[in-house]
Amino acid sequence: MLALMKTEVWKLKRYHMIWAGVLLMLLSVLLTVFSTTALDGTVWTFPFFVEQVMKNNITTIFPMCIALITGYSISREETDDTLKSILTVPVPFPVLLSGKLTVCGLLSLFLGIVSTVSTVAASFLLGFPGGDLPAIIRAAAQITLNCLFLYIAVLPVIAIAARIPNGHLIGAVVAFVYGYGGMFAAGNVTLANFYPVTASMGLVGYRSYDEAVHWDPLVCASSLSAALLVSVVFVVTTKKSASTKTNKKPKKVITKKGW
Amino acid sequence: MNEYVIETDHLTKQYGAQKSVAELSIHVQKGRIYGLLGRNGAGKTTTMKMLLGLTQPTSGEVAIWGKTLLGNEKKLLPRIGSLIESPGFYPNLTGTENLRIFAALRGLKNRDAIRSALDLVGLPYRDKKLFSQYSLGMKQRLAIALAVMHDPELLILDEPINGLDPIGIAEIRSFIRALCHERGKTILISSHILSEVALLADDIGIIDHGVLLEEESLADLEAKSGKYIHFVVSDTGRAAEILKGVFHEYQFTVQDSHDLRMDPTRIPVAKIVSAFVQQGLEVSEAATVEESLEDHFKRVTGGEGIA
Repeated sequence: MLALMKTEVWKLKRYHMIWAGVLLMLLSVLLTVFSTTALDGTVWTFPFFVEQVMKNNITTIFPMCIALITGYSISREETDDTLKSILTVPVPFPVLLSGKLTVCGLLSLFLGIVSTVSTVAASFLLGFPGGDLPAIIRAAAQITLNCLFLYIAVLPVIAIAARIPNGHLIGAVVAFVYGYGGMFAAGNVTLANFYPVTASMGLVGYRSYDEAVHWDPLVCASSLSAALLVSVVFVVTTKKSASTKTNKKPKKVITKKGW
Repeated sequence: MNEYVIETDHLTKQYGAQKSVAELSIHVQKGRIYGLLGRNGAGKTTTMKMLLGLTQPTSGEVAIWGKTLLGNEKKLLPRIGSLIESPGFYPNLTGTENLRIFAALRGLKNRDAIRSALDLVGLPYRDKKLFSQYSLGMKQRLAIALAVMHDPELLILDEPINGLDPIGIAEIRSFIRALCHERGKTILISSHILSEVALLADDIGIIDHGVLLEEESLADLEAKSGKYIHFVVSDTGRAAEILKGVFHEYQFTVQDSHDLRMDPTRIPVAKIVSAFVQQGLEVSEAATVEESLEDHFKRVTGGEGIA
């Protein structure tokens, strides 16, 4: 497994999808920066800015971003026609998938760090107060762990999409809707604890200081554990042979009639 | 007794109503090159995929080194090197980086394995060129390097000379021959090019529309497809009696009521024709025919021939 994970890391070299991920994380910060320009009387501080970045990560950017990157790294084995060489090593497809998903878990931590660095940098550039060292450490832990927990929340979508040839785009769209659903789930205390996307917020103590926010860490952890378990079941039961390579249908030639 | 490295038993692959491979029983002997010859779409690649467990057969069995493939993949597949269809590698990596991935997956301890494999196929080690920038010939060479990198006992190569230039073809041909004859590897290659198979293989299996039409050694096939004398007469039954009674000649085959084929003989053809005419037979054709391997394949495959 270690060798497999090592090769999965090597495959990421000169991989443009990683840069797409980095840019999307920067976009999340940029979107928050834009919202600071609204003259709605909000008092912007470093902790509040961090919370807004996390909100954008959760509901808009990260689920779609990680589902796209992970899904693409799975489907490229078919599009690059490398699956046949891996299966004849032999590495069974569920084992290959497990290796990829583990490495993408590490990648989600990396993207969390990117998000933290850009958030701290943007906050300093905008001159928000409250950006002392303890606050920065807390923000780093919250943003980075939140990315990992969000990844676990989205894992079932990725695992199901892996069964569909070139299913990474479908996976990304579903993950976006699933992440956006977090915005509605957050409105209900019970649902927020159960819904895996919002449960990730509960585990990192998002707005725990607010008396109106009630997280149940046990329920949140159970929700994400269930998501992880469902993913494991989907991964273990995935069967794929090299012959599933999709063939494009030839384009129908339309001949002009008449003048 | 022959030791078969690969043996299939009525191997069949069916997609819907269409049989891609039908009741195929091939026998690949140890230390020999077996050429699976057939037109495009004959079922060669599907057969090879089934031999590697990449596609599950609809029915029939695959035995490699006497063991069924199903359930023994972990023991058997590491001893096999393969190249199936087009070369598939990661386009964002160099050739060396690509091989490094598969060397790690195979757990190769020999650090020189990658360099040796690249040297064998004439590709540079640690070149900065990415796989996406490779020519078709270079991609094919890299695929062959991947197949031999772990020093397998059996090689399954699907159209290994695809995309190579004439010099490259000659190089790979002598390389494959050396692997078999000097290093004792067993090799199964597929091709739609008759001349290539004839130059490389010790044994040949002719496959057409998923059916194995013939399986013989190249020497036997060449013997089969040699010279013969072809007669077109009014009555082949009477002609056969004359050949036996007058000339004591028994090496002939009656094709139908007018066609008779006779093995080369020391008796002059003119003398035989004269005897036929004297016995009241009409002789409309008498000719010495030299059938090439290609003609033989054309005949076996029902006249369509092999590209």
